[in-house]
Amino acid sequence: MSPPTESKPIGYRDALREALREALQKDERVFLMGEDVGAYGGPYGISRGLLEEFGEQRIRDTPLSESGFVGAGIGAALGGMRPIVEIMTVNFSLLALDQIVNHAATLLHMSGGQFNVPIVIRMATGAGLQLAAQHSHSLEGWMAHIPGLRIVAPATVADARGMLATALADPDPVLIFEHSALAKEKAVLPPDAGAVDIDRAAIRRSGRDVTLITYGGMLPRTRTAAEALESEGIDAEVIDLRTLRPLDQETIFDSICRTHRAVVIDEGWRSGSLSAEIAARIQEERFFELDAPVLRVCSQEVPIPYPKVLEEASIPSVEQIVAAARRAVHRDV
Amino acid sequence: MSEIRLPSLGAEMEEGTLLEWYVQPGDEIHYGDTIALLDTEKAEIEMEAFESGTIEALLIEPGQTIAVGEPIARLVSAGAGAPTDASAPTAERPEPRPAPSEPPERPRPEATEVTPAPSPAREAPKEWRPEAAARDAEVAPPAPQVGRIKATPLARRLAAERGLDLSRISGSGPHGAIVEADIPEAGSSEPAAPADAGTTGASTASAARPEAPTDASRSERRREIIAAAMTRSKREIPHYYLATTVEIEPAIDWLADRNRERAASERLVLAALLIKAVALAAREFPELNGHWRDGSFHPSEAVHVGMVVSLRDGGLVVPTFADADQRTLEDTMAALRDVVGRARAGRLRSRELGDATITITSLGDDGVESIFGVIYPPQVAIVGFGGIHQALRVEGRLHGTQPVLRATLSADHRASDGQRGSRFLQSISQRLRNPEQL
Amino acid sequence: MTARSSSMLDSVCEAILEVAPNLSRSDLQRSSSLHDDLGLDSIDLVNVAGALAEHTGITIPDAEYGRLTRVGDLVDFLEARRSS
Repeated sequence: MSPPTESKPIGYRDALREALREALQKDERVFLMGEDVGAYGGPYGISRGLLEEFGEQRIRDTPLSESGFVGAGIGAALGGMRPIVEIMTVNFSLLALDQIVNHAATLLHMSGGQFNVPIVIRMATGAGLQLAAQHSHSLEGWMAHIPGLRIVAPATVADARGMLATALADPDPVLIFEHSALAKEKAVLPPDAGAVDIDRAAIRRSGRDVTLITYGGMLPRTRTAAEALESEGIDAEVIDLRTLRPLDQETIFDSICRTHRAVVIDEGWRSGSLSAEIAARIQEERFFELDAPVLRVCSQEVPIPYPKVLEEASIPSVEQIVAAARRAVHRDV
Repeated sequence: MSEIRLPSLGAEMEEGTLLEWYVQPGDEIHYGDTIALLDTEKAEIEMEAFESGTIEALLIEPGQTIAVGEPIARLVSAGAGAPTDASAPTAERPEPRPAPSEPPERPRPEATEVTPAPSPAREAPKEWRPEAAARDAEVAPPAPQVGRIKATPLARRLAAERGLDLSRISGSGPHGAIVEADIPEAGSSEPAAPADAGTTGASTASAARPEAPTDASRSERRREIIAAAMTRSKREIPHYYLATTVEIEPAIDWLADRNRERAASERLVLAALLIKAVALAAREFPELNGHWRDGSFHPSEAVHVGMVVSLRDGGLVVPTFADADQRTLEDTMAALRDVVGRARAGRLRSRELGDATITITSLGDDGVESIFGVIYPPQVAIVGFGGIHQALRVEGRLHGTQPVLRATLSADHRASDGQRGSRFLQSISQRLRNPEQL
Repeated sequence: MTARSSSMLDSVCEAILEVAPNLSRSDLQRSSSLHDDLGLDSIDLVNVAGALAEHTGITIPDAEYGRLTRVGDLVDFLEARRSS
């Protein structure tokens, strides 16, 4: 598989693969482990061809035991390796939560700073593929609650290409959430496209009237909503958070000072979600800039349904985002 | 200089016995070095140093039992220089317990102070910390309040910056809240108190302050505000509409009579009569004179009549004639000339805007027959007067014409109903037919 | 125009501009209708009459007021009053 030429657009998953290949090439300590990542080429084809290129030691198929192989990854990281652990989806990470929260996230603290755990854990996340209640979670926000973890959500092809390298360079755990619905994103990347920062949010569209804050799989529809709002004379600014923990609140606050109104779009369930955290921070730190309450568009508080129309109705939609933005600018006639 | 204290080496350890020192005064030790052997009732445990430095003195001897937290040695921290009494012999027997002058130590001794380890390769990810309170602690100075005024934080700040009184501004936001769009531009009323850049907080204060508004931007802004208010009015207030025809000839004749002997500059115009008539009728029908707030009607004791004045650039202002029911016609006329004159010249004072309990709109000069106004929330009624026109009068078999004008009422059905509204209009009509009593 | 006419025209224009600062001198022709062309309403006209009384010392009786509908009418009326 050849690297992308200058002018050809590549897909989100191709970008992830390129990132993996580059990481494996550059650092011997890096290896990939997870279910079906080797012989099968990855459940979504992301690691296709890598086993042939790098061999069994570097591309390791694991048993069906998230707790086991995440723990092994932590051990490998402690031992000086740079493991990339792929958990098939965030839904299965629940089986490894003790490893992630009680070990990966806490060893640095519990050891008084002696032991870093330079592990990168990648997971698919999100709803939209009719995989029903147990396989459609968006738990990035939940994970962003835990000190000791860095949580990032690449929402663009460039970020899919560039975040892995920066995550690997971090001596502490980084969790990368790759939303399944972004698989169809395509973009042209420059030939020297490389590592990107994982500290800053990005303003994907600038605007004056209201700030739409989102991340991951919700970015494309938030952009669509911004275009719809433009035709109504509402100029929306779109922020892609990129890093969920720590949050780049400087970018958020800057935007609020310009637009004075905000809507947070979060595929997680509303209660106790990341959007609640963002709304709390905005009103704590920039209350006097607000011309309207911070509104949130989140998933309905139900386990995600299987039938397509119900699934679509249960996660944030473009219409809901537009309606919330209208309310924020007091034009909800 | 610091003290090495007996650490708690087990969950319930309260005391320990020194079995052996591994160091002596003058020795350089490093974080993690074992420095003593202790007997903790459960096991013999080697004790590690939590600091680096040079041992200055050992404070207990092998065989001594001391409580957890008690000092067992003195250490000169790394980089602090040589201990001052390095010559103290190791055989020195210091007090096993703190001297009486020292206060007794803590009841639940903690582990000895743990100096942070040499920092790891990279600091932990920066966690969120609440920013310095100073930046946002400045609260916008509170507006004088009549009851609780709902306004967004931004609106409050802007009003404070522009020296505007929130109680005189009508809100177009949810639940009647005053929002940014309701706050007039700095230049549309008297100059605002200059905003102190230090108190408005955030480095964006200068970015947020509006530039000196041009006439065009002011006018556009006014339009936006009017549009917002009118939209909200139509959305929230269930309007009902009534109309009546007023025989205006008595009023016209009376005015002509009264004005005949006067200079043109002293004349009374019909508008003054309209204001007075509406004000007196409003006193008689309190359900049309007041405000709808927080889900209920609050009638007003006083009658303050707002009058819609059109501006030459096409916008509107609604100056208020306070206590219009109590002023003489001459007073009303003088106020009318003064206020309308200044309104048209853009020189109204902010306190003259808003606070009306009922409003009049009149397009009489422009020739339309009638006008049905849109209520200005939180008021509950607006009276419209059309232009004078000739109507057919039939008496017996005689046909003639008489001047009439159409008076209309747009009212909030939550506060009044058609029957009361109709009587209100009749009251106005009847008063205008008896102008000498106004 | 004689010197006297132009100064009375000036006074009238001044008074009108005081009441309606949005207008400009060039809008004020002798033939301009106060209501239709210049957009002055009944209250404005009362204020104009008041301003004229102040500047020229001449009061316009109410009876005459109704027929003075153009700038020129005002000028002529005031001229006539002054010279008599």
